[in-house]
Amino acid sequence: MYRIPCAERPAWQQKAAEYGFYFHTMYGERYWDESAYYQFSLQQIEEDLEAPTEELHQMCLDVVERVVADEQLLTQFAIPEAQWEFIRHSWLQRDPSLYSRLDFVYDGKHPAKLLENNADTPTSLYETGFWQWLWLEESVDLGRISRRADQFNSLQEKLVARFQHILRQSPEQKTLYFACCKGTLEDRGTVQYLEDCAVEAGWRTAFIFVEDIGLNEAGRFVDLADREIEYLFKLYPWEFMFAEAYAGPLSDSGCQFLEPPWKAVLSNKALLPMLWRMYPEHPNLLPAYFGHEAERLDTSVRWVRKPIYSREGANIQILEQGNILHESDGAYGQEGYIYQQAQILPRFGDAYTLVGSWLVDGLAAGISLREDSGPITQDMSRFLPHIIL
Amino acid sequence: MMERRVKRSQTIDLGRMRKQFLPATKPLSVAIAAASLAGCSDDQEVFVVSSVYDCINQTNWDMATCEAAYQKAMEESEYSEPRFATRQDCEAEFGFNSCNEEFNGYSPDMVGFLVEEGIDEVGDLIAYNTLYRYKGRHKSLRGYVLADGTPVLNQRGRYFVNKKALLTPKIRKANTKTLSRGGFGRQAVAKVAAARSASRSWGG
Repeated sequence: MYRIPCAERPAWQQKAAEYGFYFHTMYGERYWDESAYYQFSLQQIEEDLEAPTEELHQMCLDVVERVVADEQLLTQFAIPEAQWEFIRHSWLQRDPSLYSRLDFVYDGKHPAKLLENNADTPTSLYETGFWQWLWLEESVDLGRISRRADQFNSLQEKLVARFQHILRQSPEQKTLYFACCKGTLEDRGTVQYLEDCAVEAGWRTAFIFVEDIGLNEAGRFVDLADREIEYLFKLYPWEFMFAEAYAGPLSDSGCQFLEPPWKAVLSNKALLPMLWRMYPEHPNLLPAYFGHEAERLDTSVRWVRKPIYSREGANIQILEQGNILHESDGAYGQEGYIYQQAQILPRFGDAYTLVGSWLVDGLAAGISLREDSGPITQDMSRFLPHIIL
Repeated sequence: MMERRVKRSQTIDLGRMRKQFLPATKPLSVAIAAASLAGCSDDQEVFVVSSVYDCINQTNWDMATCEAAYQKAMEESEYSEPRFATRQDCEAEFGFNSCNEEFNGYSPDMVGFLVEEGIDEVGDLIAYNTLYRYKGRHKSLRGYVLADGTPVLNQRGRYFVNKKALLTPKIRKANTKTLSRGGFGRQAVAKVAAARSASRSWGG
């Protein structure tokens, strides 16, 4: 695993406009960064990332199986009691899932360690599945990268195939709605990409903003034209939905969701101590404990305290012998915390590097690399492409 | 030499990925041709109205019903209006200065809407469709068209349209009224207000 500086493609920004990639630069700072790329060996990809990704996913499903059947665990996962049956039902009838992203600490030498599972609303999908793919095609054509180079990235192909599979499973053809919040170009772009994949798979689709969803007298969710929404992909976290005005109507709405409700168990940091409890000493896991198990922490090493619900590195503390070494801001943490042994991200040059490993349902589908100037990956980290050679 | 396992998507249709070409949208002239071949035995008389007041004048409905139909037509147009890669493409079909830039392309101005009343076993229905004025090269088809290109035929001031084109946007008049909107999305607002800097994304 190397970080290799390279020349940017000439006028790639124009190409981005042509393809509708609007968020490559945000708040005046670059997000998509092709001034360098990462190079992996095939062995690193297949043995260190691909295989563990699929294995960890199966382990996560074992956690869901256990948690949905255990009220004490559901409580520890801070899932509102009113939603337990909704989640359990969606698991028992095996509501199909679409995708997720496991975030790893990986340096090319040691086993990848799972930091967290973005199982409900993972983003940076378009950059991964399409834009870095296009970067490789064009960089090879420009003669800057070897023709033998490959990329761990079958994400788009697998998404289309997955949408086809879900479509074939649906007894009647429903319209698949895609939703995200107003005011974020990044989320709008991600949802548009998924909608494009669904259209390619043969779905009839529509878009609605999360805030525009309505509820009719029959208890069904409706679009702006009052048509019933029967199938909804929402780039909006379950834990938010469970805390809002329409939480009550969810279970009787007759609506099917992507990601399905059982993903609320996986996109939850309580997953981490649960995995460690069920699979202690697993090479791809970091030791982790629930908030009430703080006395079990080995004080000779550093720990990270994470809120059970949090996004993009908010409200994280790094602890050393009970003292706070580093802290990030945010509005999370009311639901409680977990502890995970600190594993500082590897540095390549000046940057800290995080590997995101994608799954489409249960299949490993590619990776994305993000760099940050600090050890906690935040909103404003940069996205870099990679190759296999 | 051993064949390499390829770890990336084999092919991606770049034409499909270009947002300026919008391949999912049927070319309008094709849709018009197909619709006009469908014959007229399925035609249904409709009201073509240009405003809420026009609707009140032409039909026997009250203001609330006409407003609702107008509102629905406006909302419907967000989903189904014709889209074009470029302003030129759009104007070639709908005339100079008749197109607007949208999130992912160009769409013609909506010039009115049509309404049609029906009844099924559950109760009253109103069909509503948005109308556009086609000014393209197919001279015989110039005039009102629906979003999918179905022509609205003008026969001495009475309007007729193929029934099949009216099916999708039908709404029930009573029965399943939408009670509220905005029951999702508050948490995002609350988190933004509480965070020091605005977040870009609700994903992770």
